[in-house]
Parts: sequence; C-alpha cells; structure tokens
Amino acid sequence: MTKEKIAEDFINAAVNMDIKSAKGACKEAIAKGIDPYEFIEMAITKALTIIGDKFENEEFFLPELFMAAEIVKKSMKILEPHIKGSGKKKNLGKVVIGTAKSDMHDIGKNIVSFFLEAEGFEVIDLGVDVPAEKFVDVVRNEKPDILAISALITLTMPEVSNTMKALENANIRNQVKVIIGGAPITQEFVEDIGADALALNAIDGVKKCKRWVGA
Amino acid sequence: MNNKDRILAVLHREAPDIIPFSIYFETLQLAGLAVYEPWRKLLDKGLCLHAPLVTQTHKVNCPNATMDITHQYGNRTSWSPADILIAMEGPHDILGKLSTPVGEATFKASVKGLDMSVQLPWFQEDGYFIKDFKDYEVIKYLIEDAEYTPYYDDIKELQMILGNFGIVDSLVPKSPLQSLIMLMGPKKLALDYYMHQKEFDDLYRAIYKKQLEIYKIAAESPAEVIWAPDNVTSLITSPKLFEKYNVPFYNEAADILHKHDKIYIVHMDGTLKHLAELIAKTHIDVIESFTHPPVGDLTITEAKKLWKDKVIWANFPEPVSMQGPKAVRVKTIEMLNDAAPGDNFLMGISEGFPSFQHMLKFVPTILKTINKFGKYPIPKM
Repeated sequence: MTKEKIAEDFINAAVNMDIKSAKGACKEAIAKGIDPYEFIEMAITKALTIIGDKFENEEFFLPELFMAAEIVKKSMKILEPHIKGSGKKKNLGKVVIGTAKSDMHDIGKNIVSFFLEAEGFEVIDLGVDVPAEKFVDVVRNEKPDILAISALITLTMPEVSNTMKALENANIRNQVKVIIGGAPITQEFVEDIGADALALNAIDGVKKCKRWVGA
Repeated sequence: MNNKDRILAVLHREAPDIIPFSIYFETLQLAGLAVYEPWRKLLDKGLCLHAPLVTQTHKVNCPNATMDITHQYGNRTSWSPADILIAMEGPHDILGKLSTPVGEATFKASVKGLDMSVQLPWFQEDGYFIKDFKDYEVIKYLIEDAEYTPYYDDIKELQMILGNFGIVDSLVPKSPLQSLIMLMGPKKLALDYYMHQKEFDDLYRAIYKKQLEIYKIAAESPAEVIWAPDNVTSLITSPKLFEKYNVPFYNEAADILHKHDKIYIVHMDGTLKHLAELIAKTHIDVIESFTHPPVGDLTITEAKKLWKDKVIWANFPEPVSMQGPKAVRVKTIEMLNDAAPGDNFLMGISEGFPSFQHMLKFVPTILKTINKFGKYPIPKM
C-alpha cells in the first residue's frame, strides 16, 4: 500500500470518527517505514483541516471535535515513539489562553487550545477562572505572541475588560496580540475594550492567530 | 387580564391583551427581593412571575442507595450555624458520594457562591458522576432503584403565594440525553457515543423509561404547566444526537402530558438554528428561554416561521442590558416587531445578571416599552 493510500485511509477514518481504523492506519504507516512527521503532515494535519472546515461549516459539532481530538491523541501515541529528533517540529509561536475570572465554561477554550497545538503553536493553558493579575503575570514572564481570553456569560465580560486594563497598567499591552471569544462577545465589545480580534468560533480564532504569526 | 391569565392565554395559544413579560420568581426570592417595594410596583404594572425552578410534584426515594453531599469551605470551619450559613454564600467545594450495592460514584464541584443553578457540576473535567464504565453500573442501579410518588403540597403552596401574579411549573428532570450530559459531561458523552454505543444506549434507555414515570405523575398533578430544564444547545446536542435521542422522548413525554391537558415547556437557551427543523417535528408546546442573536443564532422571525404551532418564550438578551436604557428600549421594540402580531409569543428574563440593582435599572424599561408597544395584536412598525 502506498503512503498516499494509508494517509487517505487515515483521513477517511478520522472524518468518519472511526478510531479503530485511524489507529490501524498509523500502525500501517509505521510498519511501512513512513517518516512519522511526513505522515502527520499528510494524514493528521489534513484530517484536522477537513474536520475544522466541517465544524466551521456547521456540519460537525462539539461531539465530533471531541472525538477528533481523541483520534489525534491516540494516533500521536502510536507515532511519537518513532519520531527521531525534533528538528522538523513546527513552532508557530506561543499562546497564553484562559477563561475570564469567574467563568467556569471551558469547552470553547479547550477546543481552541487543541487546534492551536495541532497547528504547531506552543499553548500555555491557564484553565478557567483566571484573574486579570494572573494573565498579566504570565504575559510578562512568558512573553507570548498571543493572549486568548474566553468568556461565555455576560456576567464575566467585565473581567475581560479588566484584564485589558491590567495589561495597559502593566505597560505590556503592546507586547501581545489579544483575541477574545465566547457567545456574548461582539465585535463592538472587542473594539470598546481595545482587544485585537474577536474569535467567532474556534476555527476562526485559530485562523486569526495563524495570520498574526504569518503562517 | 391579570398577569397569570395573560401568561396562560398565550400558553394555550389564545390572544392576550398584551405580550406577557416574565421574570423567574425564584431568582427574586433567592435574593430576598420578592417583597422589595420596587419589584412589587412592577408586578402591579404587569411584570409576570414565572416559577419553574424548584417545585416538583413528586418525591423520590431510592431504598437501596444513599447520597452524601458535603460542602467544604476551605478555612471556614466553625461550630456556629451562623458562620456555616454565611460560608454557604462564598466560594466552596461540593463533594458528592453515591453509594449503592454495586459500587460508589463521586463528584466534586467548585461553586463561587450561593447559586441555584448548581445542582450537579457542569464544567469540571473530574466533576461528573460518570467518569468510567464502573460508574455506568452505579448510576444505572440508582436510576432503577428510584421510586417516585406524587407530592402536591409544594406546588399548591407556591400557586397560592404567586396568586394572580404568575404561574408555577412542575419541574421535571432533563430529558435523557440532556441528563447524560449532566452525568458525564459533554466530552465523555461524545467519546462514549462514538466508542461504546451499546453501553451508552443501555443507560439512555434506563433513564428514558424511569423519567416517563415522573412525567405521568406530573401529568396528573395540579400543575398547569410542566417545565424541563434541558438547556439544549446544538454545539453539544448536535442535530444527529437530537434526532436520535431527544425527539422520541419529547414526543412520548408530550403525549403523556397532553392527555391531561398539560402544557409542555422545554428550556432551550442555546444555539438552535441547526435544530430548528427537528424541534418543529416535536410535540413540545413551548420553547422557553429562546435565545436569539446576538447570543443565539436563530431569529424570532425565523423561529416563528418554522414553529407555527409552538409558543416562543423569548429571553431578553443579556449583553443588550449592559448597553443602557436606550439600547434596551430599541431591542424590546425590535423583539415585539419581529413577533408581530404577537401570537404565541411571550418575553422573559431567564439568565443571570451582574446584580439585582442592574436588573432593577433595565427591567422597568422593558416593561414600560411592552406596555406601550406590546398591546395585542401588535401592528408591524
């Protein structure tokens, strides 16, 4: 079987949420001596692009994204032991991500984290309920390219605004691009608080991050 | 028409004198504001009370299972009941332990304060009762062990308290798939649906069968309306899942309720555009907390077109309330205009807000605007 055919089998399996066949394709790739990095590019990255597009086109929903993440996780577990050196690993930049203070909703944030990592970003995930001071500390110390903040409920929107003010007060606002996501967030709100972009959904957010780093 | 008559008229698809506008009674009660004079004045001006959140018409007993709930307060350990009560309002962890003859299941939830929405943990990865397969067996045992008996005292009492200011719903559990989301979280639900469908379906069927017992009790109760807090959103309950799991249950439950002339209300406050055609196929009477743009993705006009036989109880969007009285007035007029002439349409507030002071600033604006522009039938503006 050619590497193109194995990659195609993986893509079909992943898009059909068939984890068994996807893992089988990874094992086949290793058995045939295909370079794992090449297989990741040909199969996993391509499958993720298709799944991401289907999510953006609203053919796929959260259950499919969770399942896709599981397929990728299990596939990488098969491929990773065969990866030699790290020279080829993509590094698009560093993103700090978290939900606003008092916001415990992490589904959207987790999807964004997953896709950012899959695309080659280093992601520092601060989790949920992150106070403005924490965002400021991590931005100051880690010097990320991008800060991504999520707020799902209106009650926590003022906390996003507080984080922007805290970045200004700490004189580090200009060091980092800021992208905001969450159901109640509007373009108007993003402009009002002086953030750089609104993530309409996870895929849109990742696309904007990639654009900022020239990828 | 008094406030209650106005709501019931719309729920029965009859003409109201004016579009009803409601607020959850329990949120006012929780904040100790039910008797606060400014709110009372709003009731006199037509603000309707809707009490769906706490009143059940059944009691449950699981003879062979126990559940221990512990509230853990960090450094607030005290012998004093007063301290414990005050601590309950602050951030703390809730630890739950369910014991059955076939095993135990646990959950841990962190809460920010006294919050009526905290029944089971929604958001933590480790917070759900079902974390692996052994938990399926425990939960299934609990479900099948439950014995339900009618209990009408609470609803009669609250109906008496609300009087002509509003309605009291009989609270029934979330439908089976929505219950599974609460029990295992959206991630495990997705993975188990795709990877362990037989076990998943077995548990779903156990919940389905048992919940209909509660619907039968509610159908025979003094409640005029039955409310299921399903929190449906297409992001989690995708069209595929909704069609397979939600639609059959809604239809069977609705048929049970309709035999006793009960109104079946389902709380669907998420994005519904991709579910709209499937919702149209259900026998549900009322889509409550209907959330339109900017938070939702289906407009009132689109929903009314698709759900001709259904009542829409539209939620006033939270973000607009932050933009000042002018924006609130404009949005209220826009909602009324979208619903014109106003058949099968109510408005309400069914979300949390930054503070009750904030609510008191914009609720009167909505009410005043509805009283001016929301007389039925509403002319297209």
